[in-house]
Amino acid sequence: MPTTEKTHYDVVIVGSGFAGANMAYMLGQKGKKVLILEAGPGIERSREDYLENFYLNTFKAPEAPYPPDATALAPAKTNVPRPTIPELVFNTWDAKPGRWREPEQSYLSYQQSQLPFASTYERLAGGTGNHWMGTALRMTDNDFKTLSDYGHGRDWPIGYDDLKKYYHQAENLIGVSGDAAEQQSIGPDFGDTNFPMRALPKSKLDQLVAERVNGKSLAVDTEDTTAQVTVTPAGRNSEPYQNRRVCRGNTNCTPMCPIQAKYDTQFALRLALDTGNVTLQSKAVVDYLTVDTSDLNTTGSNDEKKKITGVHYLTYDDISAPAKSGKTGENTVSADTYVLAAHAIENAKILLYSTKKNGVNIANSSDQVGRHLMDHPVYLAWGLTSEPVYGYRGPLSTSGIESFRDGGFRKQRAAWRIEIGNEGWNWPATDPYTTAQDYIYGTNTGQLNENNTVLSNAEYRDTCNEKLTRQFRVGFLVEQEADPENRVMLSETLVDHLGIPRPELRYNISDYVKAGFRSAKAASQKLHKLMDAKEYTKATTEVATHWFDPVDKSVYNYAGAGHVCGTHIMGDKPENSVVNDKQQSWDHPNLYIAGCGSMPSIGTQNPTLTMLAMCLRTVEEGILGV
Amino acid sequence: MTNPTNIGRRTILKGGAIGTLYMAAGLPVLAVADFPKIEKAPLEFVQISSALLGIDASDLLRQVAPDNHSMADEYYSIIYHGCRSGLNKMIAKYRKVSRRLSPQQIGNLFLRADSSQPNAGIRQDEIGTAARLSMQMWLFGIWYGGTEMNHNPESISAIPKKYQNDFVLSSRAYKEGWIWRFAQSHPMGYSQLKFGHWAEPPPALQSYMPGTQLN
Ligand SMILES: Cc1cc2nc3c(=O)[nH]c(=O)nc-3n(C[C@H](O)[C@H](O)[C@H](O)COP(=O)(O)OP(=O)(O)OC[C@H]3O[C@@H](n4cnc5c(N)ncnc54)[C@H](O)[C@@H]3O)c2cc1C
Repeated sequence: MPTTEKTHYDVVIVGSGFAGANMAYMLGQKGKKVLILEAGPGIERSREDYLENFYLNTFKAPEAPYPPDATALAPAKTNVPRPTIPELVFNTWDAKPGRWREPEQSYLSYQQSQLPFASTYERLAGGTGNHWMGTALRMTDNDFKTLSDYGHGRDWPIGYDDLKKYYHQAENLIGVSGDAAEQQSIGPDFGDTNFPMRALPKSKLDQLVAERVNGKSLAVDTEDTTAQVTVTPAGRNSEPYQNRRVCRGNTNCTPMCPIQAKYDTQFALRLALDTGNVTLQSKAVVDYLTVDTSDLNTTGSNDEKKKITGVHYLTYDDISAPAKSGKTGENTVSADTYVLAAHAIENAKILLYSTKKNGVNIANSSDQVGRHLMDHPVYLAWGLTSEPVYGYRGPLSTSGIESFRDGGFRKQRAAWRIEIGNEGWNWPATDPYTTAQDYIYGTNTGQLNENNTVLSNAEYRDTCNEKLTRQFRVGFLVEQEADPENRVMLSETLVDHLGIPRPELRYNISDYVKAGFRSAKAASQKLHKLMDAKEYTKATTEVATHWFDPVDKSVYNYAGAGHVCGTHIMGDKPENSVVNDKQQSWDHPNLYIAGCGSMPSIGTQNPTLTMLAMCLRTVEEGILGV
Repeated sequence: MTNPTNIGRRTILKGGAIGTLYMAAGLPVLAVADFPKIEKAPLEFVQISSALLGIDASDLLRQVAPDNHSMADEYYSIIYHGCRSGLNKMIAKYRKVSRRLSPQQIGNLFLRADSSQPNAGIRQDEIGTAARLSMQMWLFGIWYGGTEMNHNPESISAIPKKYQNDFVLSSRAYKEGWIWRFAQSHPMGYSQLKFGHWAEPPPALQSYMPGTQLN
């Protein structure tokens, strides 16, 4: 029998990730009694356990340290499944029906999608914030109004100035190291504020790129703009901060900083719990929200009638995949205010399932829930420099080129920013493994062993040294505009082990984004040339994440950035948006839907800092009503 | 970061090096074979490893703090169970040729189909298998039984079932991998380095292997 929880909470938050943990912390500090319902396991007793998982995993994907085993490929038999890189790598795409050939192996279902969605997320205490990389860039003025400025995507109902003060707070909360003057020179106004910590030093590679590319043009349609390598603000300590250590450059921000010099959300969650006002209930999977349907026919103010009355959740024990046991109980908990912070795709899923369960529309009178799914599809490019740059050292990325992220060209094509990677060819080619094994097996999988040689002794050692120390990669994060047809729906047939319907996706890459990719490709070629580097970027049709471009008649691959946005976008009208500028549901005044899902446009910047700023504003100006 | 989604499915099925790395994931990756009893590595095993890798035996024998653990013993114990007859044949062969051939020649002899031909393919017999499996343990801390079988189907008879997959031997083995030193770096996710080291060139290759004569 379902039971009803008796404790009264001011706020129930669904999800303990970036949004949930930080909002709980803010509310707890203000004396609000908060309950967090977290689907996955709680805070790990020792980070060493996760680290050990990472060391022992042969497949060192972002999911490697975290339960459940990402390689199980058994979402129907997992209590809290999530999308994983192994799902993307192992499955093959059946382009005609637009789905995986083995739909059972993929948590995200596709029945009629043009392309698979390439980004993943975590479902455990701390959420995806456990393995975010730490990049913390502000958006710029124009990123908030891409529709009015450039005729693409959607506008925000608020602008940079509305978030400015919260950006500053968010940077302090995370502990962002950076150089405000330098950032200001390429866009966002910092006023007289600065980052809480000085910038991290530039890597050898950053220095070489700067030396060869600064002051040069890269893209043909931005002739008047020249490149400038700038240090990327990041949630990584350049000084001891909040009792966390200084970065030692372990080159592992994703999936896990071994010394927690990178801010992660389990840290935020601890701060929240330390307020004494926040309770975390883990292994509590919210499946739907409840409303009092009997109220719909009775008198009372309109707002009263539309209130959310509770959150329904399921409990379970076993976190392994496949699980040996399933649901152990269920419960409904009530509060004055509800916050959905379960990640963009999961927020949409919960809302859509709520509508189904209640038989009345929940938060979706606009029919916009689940629509406008976005990411930053990444154009990955890699090469060998003419002199050693000594990758595989330092944080995964310390600098970028932000110079080309805004301009009139955005009327024609999507913008991009360049992330300079310090991890050699680890991302594009799974090196050092691939190249090192090529010389043992006489293969050329990584493209550096053209003659298929088998090497040993000094020849082997020195060849590895010579190649590995010259590898570099850059990632072009390409802006993706809001498109209502890119959407999350509920699967009609597929469920997880608890019986909750899985998300079904429709996803495509628009001509606007494809034009951005063509421009990225040309810019990459130019960059390699300027650097006197040999480019090895190679596109393949052997993975599902590709398209054939009829304009330049070539194949393009895209990777996911993990920047899952836009499934409950904010706007200034209830008719065409899900939440208002405070992430408050237009339909239910006591419901806030928080996270990157609220963002109507995302520019080219990694979105989490902006999302956190937005959430701080939600707490202060929305929930607390200041 | 960082979804390695441009790794080809076909690459995986073809069983290229990269593919097997991924294929191993379908297996219970964390179920590292029950670690066998530690055997003392004979000097020849270390000398062969040295010839394959181009690292002096004294560097390979350096004990690992804090408990003076011997990586040589750890690797030897695995191959002793994972490819015993190949190991024995490799050592026997080494005894025969060690006076006559240089370490470089021995390395080539053990790895190549034709030792004087760099691109004539891999040596397919049990000696080749034992050599590659040894070499890769030192480089990555990984037992590549599955990868070896993909590249060299004949090796199936040389490797017992329990060892016919890829697994990380131990977190220490991962951290001690020599490939990272060849790159003048550190294993991703583990270092004892200082803040800001990435802004400077690393120490010379020589300092990662002080006992090795670099040309
Ligand atoms: C590999 C990778 C690298 C990234 N790097 C960066 C970066 O450098 N910079 C950047 O800006 N962004 C980065 N991101 C994106 C960033 O991680 C996300 O934007 C951010 O974590 C989203 O926060 P969130 O709170 O909305 O969701 P999450 O952090 O995912 O948290 C959601 C929480 O809800 C819980 N939950 C889910 N379903 C339920 C349910 N039904 N009931 C109860 N709880 C539930 C989850 O377990 C989780 O704890 C990266 C992402 C990835 C994948």
